[in-house]
Amino acid sequence: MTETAAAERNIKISSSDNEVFMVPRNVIRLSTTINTLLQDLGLDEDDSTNPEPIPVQNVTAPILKKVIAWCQYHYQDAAPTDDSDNREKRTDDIASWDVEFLKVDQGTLFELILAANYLDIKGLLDVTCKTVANMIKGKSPEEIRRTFNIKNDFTPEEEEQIRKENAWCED
Amino acid sequence: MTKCKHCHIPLHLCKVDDHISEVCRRAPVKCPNKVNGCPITLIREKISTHLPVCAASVVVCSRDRCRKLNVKECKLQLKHMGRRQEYLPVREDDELDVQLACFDQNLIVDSYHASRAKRVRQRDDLHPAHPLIPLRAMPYDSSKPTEGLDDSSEDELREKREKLKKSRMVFANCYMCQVDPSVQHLHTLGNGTDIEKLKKRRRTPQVLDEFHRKLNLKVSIAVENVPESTLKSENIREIKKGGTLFTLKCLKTVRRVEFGDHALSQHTQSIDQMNEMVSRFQTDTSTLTHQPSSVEFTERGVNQGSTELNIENLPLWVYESLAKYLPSSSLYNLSLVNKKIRQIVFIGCNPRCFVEPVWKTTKPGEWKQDSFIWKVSTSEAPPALVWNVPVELSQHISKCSYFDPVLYVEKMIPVFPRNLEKDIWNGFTNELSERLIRAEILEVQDRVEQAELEEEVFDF
Repeated sequence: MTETAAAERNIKISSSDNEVFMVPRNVIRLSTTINTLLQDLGLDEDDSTNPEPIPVQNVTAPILKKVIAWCQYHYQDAAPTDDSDNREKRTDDIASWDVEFLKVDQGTLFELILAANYLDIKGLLDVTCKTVANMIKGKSPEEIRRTFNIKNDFTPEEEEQIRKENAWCED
Repeated sequence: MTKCKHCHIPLHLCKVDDHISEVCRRAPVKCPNKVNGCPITLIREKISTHLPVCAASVVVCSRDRCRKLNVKECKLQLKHMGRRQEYLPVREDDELDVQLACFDQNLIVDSYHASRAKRVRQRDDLHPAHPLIPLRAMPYDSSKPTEGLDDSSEDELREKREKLKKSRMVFANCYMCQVDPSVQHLHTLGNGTDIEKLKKRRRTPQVLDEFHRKLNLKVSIAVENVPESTLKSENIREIKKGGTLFTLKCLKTVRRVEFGDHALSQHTQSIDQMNEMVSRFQTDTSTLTHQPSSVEFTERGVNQGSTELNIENLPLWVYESLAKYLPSSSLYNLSLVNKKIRQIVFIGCNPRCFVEPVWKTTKPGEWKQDSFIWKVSTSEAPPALVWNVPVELSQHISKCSYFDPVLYVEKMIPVFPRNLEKDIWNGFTNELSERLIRAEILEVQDRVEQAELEEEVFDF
């Protein structure tokens, strides 16, 4: 398999609602799931487009479209360095394109996280998690509730108690 | 001979149990911190890698800070507040140091809620005047808080009076009495101490400033940093003057790996530097202009999508990966949002939690481990702070309505601008050196003429 030949090749993938997308082979390389699938099934052998689209079962068409758009912008990026450091990662280094790209409603954002995980796209998972983390960071519980539209089901006494003790008893 | 089922080493049958329970490197064992609440079972050779991240590997922070009273009378007021259990509200929009001072005062008030007997019993060698705060729950301490409260300050006064009386006695300072009181001797008469004291005494009136009065703060806003191991007694000027220094211990449980972060962010780079961190306009202490920090808050699009997905029903791994990007304080706040998310935080973000045993007292003097509780770690690395010149503050001073300028009646003295001054100076030095050189030349010429004259004289 040569890199130049693969660049012109398109791969067909279909979303859960059976919409078919044509993606350049080099772009879909970012998805480890599909990349290994293509390699393992020997679909890289011939240069033609696969006749049967690869089904991406957990992802709907609008989300898959967004994922592909992200991949198309990022496919030439350097591979992310894998730091298995257990410490807290930084969240303030999101590229401006990604910031714009991820200005979507929360449902879509969470869907993107799930899709990124299913398709195993490290960069997208990273950047979406960072975006959600930034929505939580530096906010008081009340602000978090308002941001995510969550109902507070603690009674005032309970709230006072857990605030004071920060504890969670093991049953 | 038989083989160990974990590491397949050949052993005699009678040794197998011992081998598995004590030696075998591949046998599953409970974490050594099991008594402290770690629930994990792991392979023996992995223990060394687990211990650094073990949830039960915690330390209790022993850093302390001190507080001093504003004026002497405040001590009695604090005692009264303790009796009535009057606490100051700690408002989150106040400045950091105000919040901390309120919090500390509440702790001190709380300590005064205990009986004097209890407080006296908890004094130790390092803290002979006021025991460490918070007070400990000591065995056989059944005294009610109200007991002995009324005579608390009277007791102290009586002690003081007696001491004074003793020191005023005619032979209080007798040398022989101090060396060997049992021996018969003639007292050295004339007690000079009180005269000495009278001479030295210089009383500056203590005034409670407006700032502390308005905030109802009895302790000073400034944190006193006294080393932990220093004797809190007469060696400290504050106490020598008759004041009190309250020592407050942190006593926060911190994961061992995070202790460095805790010490930096909670002590070294915050409380210890509090006095420098919050720069307050000087007249603020008399005018008290509070500027509650504005809360920036932008509402994000809240779930208009048709999907049912929201932060509450994501799969667990999402929270796990989110936890990698969040500081502990955010996780802690997240855990306070609602019941479901609280549970999720403790399960999904478990590596950031720690476990602590709860002790219950069964009878006085006997404690029993009751259960374990999980807590979210609240220590995190200190934020990268940048120290700026407080430009706003400097600019504010000239516009401040409370600004009381000092006007100088003296006439202005003209001063050259710096560059001009340099030129003048250079010109002056040039001129000076020129003059010097000229003088030198003249001198040489003179000498030559003199020599010529002398020669002429010789010729004659």
